[in-house]
Amino acid sequence: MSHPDDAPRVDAALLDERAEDLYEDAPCGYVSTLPDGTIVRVNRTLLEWVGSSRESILSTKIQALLTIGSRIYYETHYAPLLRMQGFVNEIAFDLVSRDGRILPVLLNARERRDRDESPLFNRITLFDATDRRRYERELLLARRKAEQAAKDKAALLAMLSHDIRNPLNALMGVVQMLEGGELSEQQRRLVRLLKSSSDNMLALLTHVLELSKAESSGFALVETPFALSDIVDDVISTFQTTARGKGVMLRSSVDARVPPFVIGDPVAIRQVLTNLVGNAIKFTDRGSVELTVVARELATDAVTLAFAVADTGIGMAPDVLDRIFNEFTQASYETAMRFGGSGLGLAITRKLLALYGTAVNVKSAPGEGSTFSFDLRLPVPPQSSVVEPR
Amino acid sequence: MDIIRRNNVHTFGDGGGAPIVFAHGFGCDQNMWRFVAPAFAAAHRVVLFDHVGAGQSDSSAYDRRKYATLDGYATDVLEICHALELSRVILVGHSVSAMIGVLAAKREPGLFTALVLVGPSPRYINDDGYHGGFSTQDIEGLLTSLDSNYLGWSSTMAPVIMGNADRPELGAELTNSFCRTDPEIAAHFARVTFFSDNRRDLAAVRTPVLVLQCADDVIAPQAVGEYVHAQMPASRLVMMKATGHCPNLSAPQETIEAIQTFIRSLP
Repeated sequence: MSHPDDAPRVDAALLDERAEDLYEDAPCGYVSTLPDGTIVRVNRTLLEWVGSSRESILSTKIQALLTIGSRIYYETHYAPLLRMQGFVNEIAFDLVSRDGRILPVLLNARERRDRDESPLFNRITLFDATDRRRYERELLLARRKAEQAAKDKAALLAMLSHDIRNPLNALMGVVQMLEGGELSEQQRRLVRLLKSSSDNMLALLTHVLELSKAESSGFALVETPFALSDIVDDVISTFQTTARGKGVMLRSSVDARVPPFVIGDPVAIRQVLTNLVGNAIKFTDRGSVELTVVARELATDAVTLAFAVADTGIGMAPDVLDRIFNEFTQASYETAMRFGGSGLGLAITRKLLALYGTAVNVKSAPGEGSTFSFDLRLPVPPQSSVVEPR
Repeated sequence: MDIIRRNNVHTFGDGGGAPIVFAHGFGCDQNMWRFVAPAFAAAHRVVLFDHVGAGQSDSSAYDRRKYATLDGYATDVLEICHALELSRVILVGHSVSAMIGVLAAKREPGLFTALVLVGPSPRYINDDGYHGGFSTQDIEGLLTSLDSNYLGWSSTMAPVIMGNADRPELGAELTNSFCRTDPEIAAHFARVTFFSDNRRDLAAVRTPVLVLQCADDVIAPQAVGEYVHAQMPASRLVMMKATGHCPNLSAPQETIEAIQTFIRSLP
């Protein structure tokens, strides 16, 4: 509660509170410069920050208060931007005080112009950003460390997978030899189990290797002419036996307008189609799986192809759809137990297609099957440059 | 590959004079020619573009291997000239684009009538007997400064982070509308620019050259402008009254007049 007698005293104090003091002692630095950076006015706060007297700083340039790295940024970014748009906000600079201390600041500036829009001077406000810059650096550092750790882990995984594959190949050779020998019914059952387990293990390892390859920064898609229909035929024939064994009809159709040759990475595209068709068959027990390719847009030098793999299998609920492209994720634990597999196929598919700047679209409902589709724009070689393989 | 779209190429003007191509430097985009380029439209066909990764260029065309040296950018300049079917080109290159212009003219001398080098530097880092103006440590300091401005909280120059989609609370007033650039590309471009050494390329260019040297230019000090002039056989050095590194923005009239005088003097 203020006493009535205080009122006149407050007024007197306010009269004493001059705008000049507000300017000089503000909790931020104020400086006004000519368009070339020459300091014409500066407040006490900024003088204290840089440890200079007013006399020594007036008529020098604000650039001289910056570290050299900041000075380059000033000339290449700040000055052009300020001249073009008349203001800049929150540019990070480092001030250097007379005794060599570095003070991180955030700088805002407004350009004052005359009637002809010519620049007169710049009004600049500086905020102490020491704490913020420290958090920022720590965050950036933490991010870089995390990225490096992820890379190291992927490299380790790839190396391990590679090393495990060698003894596994030996194991599989032995199983094959055993199969050819004379075995009792019991032994034959055990060898079959051994074979299917080692087959699964090899598939898993191959997937891990493919994924780490697609993830490595050095991975680049090959660009070579190839016949798309050959790849489609290959993929279908790879799975035909499995499909027939399950009583599932597997077929393909390639739009007649699809050019005989396109330019792309045949290995990557085959991998994507293999993953999608393989998945479709795995999750379909009756009905059909169909791979279709349609030429959506046809130009002389490029074609946009719409690929789709449609099945009449078990389908998925909407909440499952969000997760299936993650690594090591299957729709559920039960799915993994029942259908097997690494859960890496769709993650690899997604990564490979991302290299082409495209993504898989999924339509699915439980019990009604799924359709996985994606578009791919590929260059078409000039007619004469491709020799038809005989 | 659509070169016009890749480099966001714009042309205007319909004069009978030689076509004039303006190439922007590190840190900005074609906007930085806005006070200079229109003055040439009456007499020339004017061509503006953004380097890949800057302004409105197609960042997806960025290939770290191609742009690991300034030669990758020179290739783009040549491709732009060919895509527009230009000949007798006058190339005006600011800052790092001055050297990109030198590399382009070295590769296809017949394409260019003249080069205008605004604040050129063939090497930014000091070397035995050569004063470029910076130490390696200085350039590392710039890269840290870029980190703060591109990836840090302020991220003034980075629409990727600063874009309205992510931070709708920031109104249009707070966002910078010029010279936007992809942060990763900018950091790489900075490295490629400031660690480049093109001193040996200068003497190979026989095209008439105008070197525009500003007073008090911290990026390309006067000694560097004099060095470029001394190394290039057909060059002329003009000392400008303008200070700083961007006379095209700070002293557009002086810049225009210097270029026009030079063009008039060409055979």
